[in-house]
Amino acid sequence: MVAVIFTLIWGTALFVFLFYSLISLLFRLISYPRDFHRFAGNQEPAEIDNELRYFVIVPCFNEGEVIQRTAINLLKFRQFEVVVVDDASDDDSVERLKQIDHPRLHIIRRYNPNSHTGKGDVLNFALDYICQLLVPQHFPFDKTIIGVIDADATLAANALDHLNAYFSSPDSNITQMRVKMYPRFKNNLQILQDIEFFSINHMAQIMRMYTKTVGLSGNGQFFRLKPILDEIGLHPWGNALLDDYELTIKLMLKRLHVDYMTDTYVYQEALTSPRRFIRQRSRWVQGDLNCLKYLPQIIKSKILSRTQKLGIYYFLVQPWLNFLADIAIIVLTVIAATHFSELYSKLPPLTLLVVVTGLVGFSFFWGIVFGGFYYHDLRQFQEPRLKIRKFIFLPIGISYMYIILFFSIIMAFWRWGLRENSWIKTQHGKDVSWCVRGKQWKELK
Amino acid sequence: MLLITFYGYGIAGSILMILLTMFGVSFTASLLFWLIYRQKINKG
Repeated sequence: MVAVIFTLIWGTALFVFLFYSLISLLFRLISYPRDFHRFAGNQEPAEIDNELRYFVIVPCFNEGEVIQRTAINLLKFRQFEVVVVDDASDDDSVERLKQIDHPRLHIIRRYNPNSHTGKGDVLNFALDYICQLLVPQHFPFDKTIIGVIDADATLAANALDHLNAYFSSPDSNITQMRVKMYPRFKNNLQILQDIEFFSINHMAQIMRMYTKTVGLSGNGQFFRLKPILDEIGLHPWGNALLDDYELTIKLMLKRLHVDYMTDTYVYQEALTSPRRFIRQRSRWVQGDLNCLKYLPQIIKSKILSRTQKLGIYYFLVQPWLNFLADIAIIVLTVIAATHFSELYSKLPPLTLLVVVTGLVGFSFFWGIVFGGFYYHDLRQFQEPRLKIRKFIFLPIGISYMYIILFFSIIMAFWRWGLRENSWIKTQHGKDVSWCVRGKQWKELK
Repeated sequence: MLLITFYGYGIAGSILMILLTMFGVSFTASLLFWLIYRQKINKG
């Protein structure tokens, strides 16, 4: 009886996961190549709007290792004004920023006891500053573009061209860039995160572009200021641990949808340590649970389409589904192990071998599919390619990477249950070998 | 039903059959969804 119940739970989770992934696969393989020019930034506008003004917000808390590099890289884009918000760092982040001394770099600071209240508050603080800057200048909000970039991030060289192409159309309001990890990986965990962001999430976002359910990621989001102020208000970001998805829901509830940029991307740091990886993911899962407070509004909404609602439900139900599916797998494995002789002793060895081989082979299906996409994507964008032996490892790694995320789900539910909402911050600068080079510094000066 | 049919092959056999069935069912469902959605988008 126990086996039947858990098999049903697992079967349901499997159906939901496969249904979502296979739809994404169909859109990625068949629809996307035909509709390439409909994706954000891939259009060729008749005229580029040269009056656009970009403010890129970079939240900073103890980012001394990376913040200088990030600011310098962003300042290379001549239309960008960079607003770094220091959230009461106790390292040398501010000193390092002051060394840059550039007219397009704004350093604003939050001090204790008003600091460390979450990323949403930091971003809202920056938006207040930008509005205060623009109002006396009478600069129009519909020509003002706000971006959010993590302190460890760098934009691809073609980013501004794609942003200009997108925002030159007055109907384009919000876009999320594709995300990629920095190359020169130190271990396999970093490669797996790169595949996850660059190819797997990319596939899901393509599907969401069609269903108007693209989710903002914290890093690489850009929007036109006017519609956000008009529809959401001066402080659009909330205090959920997943501030980006919270904003996505708020936008969708106001008939604003996010577009997705496929052909330019933002680089960010991949984690090397499984422990830090689990902590980061537990924060994301907990942030997902925080977003449940919007469920009544989503259910009642007359603005959202049925497909949009389904997309949000899928996102919100994921932690629960993953948790139950993981428990089911553990229980079924224990039952199989403890009743091994009873269940399998009568089976001919060849049958057993066929069944086990089938199971293992099936588990590699998505690993092989995503490994293929990743190989194709690296080639297409002339990114450094992996060695053959790394590619052989990929299907196994992709298929089984999510096992370690079970711990992050447990941790997230535990913290959520205890109402522990403090920010488990991801440390930057420990995992990347990039640094500010003297040449870059001189070019900027 | 599946569980009963394939119990003779143990839990591993049942799981494999459920995997294959779920794959077939979800593939058909997603193909239908995609075709309908595609038509809807083309109609504008």
